[in-house]
Amino acid sequence: MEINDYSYWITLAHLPNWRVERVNHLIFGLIDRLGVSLAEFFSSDTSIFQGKFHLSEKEAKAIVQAKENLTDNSILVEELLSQGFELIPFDSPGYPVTLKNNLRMKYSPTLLYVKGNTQLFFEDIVAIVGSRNVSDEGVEFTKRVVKKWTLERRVIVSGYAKGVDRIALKTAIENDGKGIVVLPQGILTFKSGFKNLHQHIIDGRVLVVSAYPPKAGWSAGLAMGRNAYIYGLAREIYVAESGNKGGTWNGAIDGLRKGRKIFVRKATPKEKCANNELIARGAIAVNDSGNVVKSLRDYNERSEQKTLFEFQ
Amino acid sequence: MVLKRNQAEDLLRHYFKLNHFYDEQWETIESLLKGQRILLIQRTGFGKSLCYQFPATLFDGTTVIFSPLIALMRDQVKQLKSLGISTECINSEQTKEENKAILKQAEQNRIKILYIAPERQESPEWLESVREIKLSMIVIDEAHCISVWGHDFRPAFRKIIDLVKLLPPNFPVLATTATATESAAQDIMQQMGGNVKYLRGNLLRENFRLNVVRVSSEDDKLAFLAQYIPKMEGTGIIYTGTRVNTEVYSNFLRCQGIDAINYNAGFNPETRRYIEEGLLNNRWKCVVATNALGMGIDKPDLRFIIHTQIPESPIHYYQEIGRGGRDGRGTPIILLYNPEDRELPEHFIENSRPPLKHYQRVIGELKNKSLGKWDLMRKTNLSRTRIEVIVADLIDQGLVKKFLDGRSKRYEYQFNAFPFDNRVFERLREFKLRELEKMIEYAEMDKCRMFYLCDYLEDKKADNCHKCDNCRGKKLNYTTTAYWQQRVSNFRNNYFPEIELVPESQQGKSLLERKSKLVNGVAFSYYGFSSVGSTIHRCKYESGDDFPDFLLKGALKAYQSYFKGKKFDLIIYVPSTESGDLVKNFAKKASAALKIPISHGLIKIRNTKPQKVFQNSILKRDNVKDAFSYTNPGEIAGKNILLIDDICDSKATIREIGSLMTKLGVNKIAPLVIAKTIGGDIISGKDVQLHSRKAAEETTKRKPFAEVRKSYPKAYEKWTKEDDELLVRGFRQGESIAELANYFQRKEGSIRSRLRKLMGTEIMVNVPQGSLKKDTYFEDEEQIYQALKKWRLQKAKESGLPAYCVLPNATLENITRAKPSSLCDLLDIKGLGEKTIKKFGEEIVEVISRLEK
Repeated sequence: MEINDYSYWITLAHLPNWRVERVNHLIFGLIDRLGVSLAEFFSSDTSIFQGKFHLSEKEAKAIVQAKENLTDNSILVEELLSQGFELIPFDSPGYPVTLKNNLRMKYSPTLLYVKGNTQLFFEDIVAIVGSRNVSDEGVEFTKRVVKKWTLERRVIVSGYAKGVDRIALKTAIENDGKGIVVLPQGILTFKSGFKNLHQHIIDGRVLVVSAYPPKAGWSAGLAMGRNAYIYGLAREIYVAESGNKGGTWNGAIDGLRKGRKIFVRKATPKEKCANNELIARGAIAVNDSGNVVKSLRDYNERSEQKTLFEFQ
Repeated sequence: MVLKRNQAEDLLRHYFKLNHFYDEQWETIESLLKGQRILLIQRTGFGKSLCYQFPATLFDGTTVIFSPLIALMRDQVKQLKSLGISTECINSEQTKEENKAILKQAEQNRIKILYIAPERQESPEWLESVREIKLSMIVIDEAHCISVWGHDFRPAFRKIIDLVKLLPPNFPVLATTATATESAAQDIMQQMGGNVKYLRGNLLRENFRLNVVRVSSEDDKLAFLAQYIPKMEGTGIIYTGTRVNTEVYSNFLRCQGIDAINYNAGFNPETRRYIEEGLLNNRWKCVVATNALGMGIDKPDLRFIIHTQIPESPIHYYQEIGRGGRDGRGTPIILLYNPEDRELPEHFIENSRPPLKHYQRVIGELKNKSLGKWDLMRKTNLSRTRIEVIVADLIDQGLVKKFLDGRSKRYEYQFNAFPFDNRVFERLREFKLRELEKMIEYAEMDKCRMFYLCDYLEDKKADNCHKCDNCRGKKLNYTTTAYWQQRVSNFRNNYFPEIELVPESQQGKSLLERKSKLVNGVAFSYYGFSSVGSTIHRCKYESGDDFPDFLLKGALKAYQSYFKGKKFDLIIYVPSTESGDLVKNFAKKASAALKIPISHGLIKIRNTKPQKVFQNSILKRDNVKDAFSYTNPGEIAGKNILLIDDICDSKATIREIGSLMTKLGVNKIAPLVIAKTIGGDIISGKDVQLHSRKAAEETTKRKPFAEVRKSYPKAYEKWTKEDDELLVRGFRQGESIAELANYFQRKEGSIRSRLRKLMGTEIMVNVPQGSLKKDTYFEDEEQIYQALKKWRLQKAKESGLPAYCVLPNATLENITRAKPSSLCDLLDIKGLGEKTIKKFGEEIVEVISRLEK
């Protein structure tokens, strides 16, 4: 991958009103099927877009318009690279395979912006999610399981939100473990976070990832959207605590719908959370130590076929 | 964009009032219009600017021109605006608000051409705006700064190149310079991402008359300039090797009646602008400058360029002389060459990179925490310059990244970074030393000098110029005459460096309006001049003896000269960290001599470390912060205070005391110090040492004497015949009695009597250093003496007084010997007080200068 292709990737990754799937298919078609570089593609005109590349008139128009942004995006790339960020397009060998397998062409972000130890993408990643206002039980659970996973050299992925996310990352770091932070915003706007995580990033124990335009600020929509990436990066997903609405709930329901294994801490009857409701909807119950409460054999056989995904 | 040449020339006539392009200009423009990347190497005066200005007017959007030359920006903005082309510049001379307003206009596509200094790319304003600007073309002016193999690599250009590499391939980019060797050109093209069209022109400057004048001392150079500059046509530039020498040379020339001003990168933007504009308008005969001046001065009629220090390489030299004679008229280009001058560039090359341990110190700190420049200075105790060099190298090697934290820049160590590799610096050092050898070859060669320069720059079309000293068969040597030697000596004995303390914002305000009551002061000498620094050092750290009288005499002379007519109520002195009572005793003597009462009230209330252990101004400032108190504040309120110290380095101590005194209600406080160091924390200790040594050697032909000293290592032990020889030689070469006494470890009286014995009537020991009996040197003295007597008679008649009341014979004799050419020279003449100089000074100088003419 040539770094001067990055501005093309940014331009395509954030095409207004284009679904990720369409962008991914377009790039896949260009590079892998037609053997056309992005530079060649962008040097074409409307007739070639429509003729050789089979774009609709509307799409061709959008690309012509997007070409105007190439110079600006070159400047943006320079800014990113000069500040130590890396860009990982989805056809790059550095792109996390688990994410690609879990989210497929349909949802895999076209381009990732990262800072830190990118080797963490290829380790045994486990996600832990939960409410911002987590109960004591949820906190204890999070600390206990994260400590256990770090001893097993597993990498924790979370969202750096208040509550379970931060406790999980903190526990991992305190126990000499490693963590991935998936941002609900553009990577250039995570300034105070980088300040706090600086030492751990330098030490190679934390990787920060964003799939959004680098200068995008935090928004609820992006926060909801990034849950899919957290789930996508992990081999296993644990819910420490969830209400019956909000990001954790939606993410877990979405995961279940996509056939992912979701492990949920079994709550005591006294607790007001909706953990047991998720279990009732198909999530797997785990005890306070993170161990499965009932057998998973049948479930495994069913879901294995669903998670198999090939791009070609 | 497709445009035929005739169509383009129609537009050229319309917009630029020019008739046609040169072929090479059109080739460049045509390529840019096609969206190509070009490296254009053309001599100064060729018209490179038009190659980008013209297409910029045709593109839809803004052309950004990265230029390190603020002067050039100003000139071109002015010129383009006068043609009706919307042009602006972003640079550090303008306020943040001005820059922001310009960027806003650019965002609205209301600016065709925008000049920006490469360093400004990191400003938050630029980063916020640049993506909103519709860029149409990028131009990199002075593109040789891209390459570390060029003569003026600048890290800020790296960011431009990083951007250029990322731009779409059909985006027009022009890199242009007048000076790049073939290897630098190849490096530039490779860094631009390949696929670059290379256009190189003829570099021969037919109107240059290249000369090398061989000299054997710094005094020869001063004397040469004073003698020959008045004979030269028009205005020109004199390049020196150091900032201090810009000051020394320009002061000397002014004392000789030549209208000169100094310029260096240490000046504030307003001053720089004032001098640059003055140069364009021929306000002075010459500007004495470091190589900070010249690049981008668009003055067609610079009539001469003189170098007083050999540059680091032929390409440096070609670049610096390149500004002369752009109008094509004959222009003398002179290099004053002393083979010993190679020490300075050699030193710069050897010390261009800090030692490995300094890199490791910075890396160690950044591994712990991301830090800004000032934090790094505090934590590593390295100078600002060193930190800048180190972080630039670390960024270059990918170990460190710079990022904006709010508005401040911080450096961050990168995970998985490769280990630091300093081997590249070794290769660079060897390369630069080879380049220096080529420059020395230029100075010492017998062949055509222009051919040599062009050949070096790979201009194979060049032929012999038939104009240089070698082509004309003239070997030029210069040796100072006794007359000029005397003038240089007089100057050196009366030259006192100023200690500038009043910030720009406060200049021009009255004391009442100023926040601080600290005002500018004076030093007797630079630390390295003569033996001042070494004497102070010896007293402080070796002998512990009081500072010798020659330092006191010098400081008093500096006082008289600088504070002429100003009154002080009280002397205070800086309490010592490690000098014992040296400064106190010195201040007591000064108090007695100046008849100003002394106070011992300024005390230290906490321990401080010697300032010299700190390598940067921040730590020096922290070291003395709140360290002083005054025991009896009531006695100083409303008073004018003279603050005495031995050495002024970063000014941190003086500022701290100034701030305390201001709080205590003094009316004014001014420093008087023995020595001022060179460059503060800008020049490292080693540089100061080198400069000190060089300056000492340079002072009034003392180098041979210094060499003789070395060859007589036993001189201290027993007085021998060789000592006699040495003593006479030293005295003849301008060493003062005090200095000689100090050197030989004898009393001044015994040195004097020994000299009397050895030299007989040749010596007049009651006259300050270096003044010798008249018939030893001057042939035309009788004429001067008679002319002065005639003038005195006339004055006596006018005032109705006897002639001896105007000036006694002895004073007339002293004037005759000294042959003063300025008021400054009169200060050193025995028998002439301040009052007399004020009354008759100008007339005396006039009498003598008439005779000389």
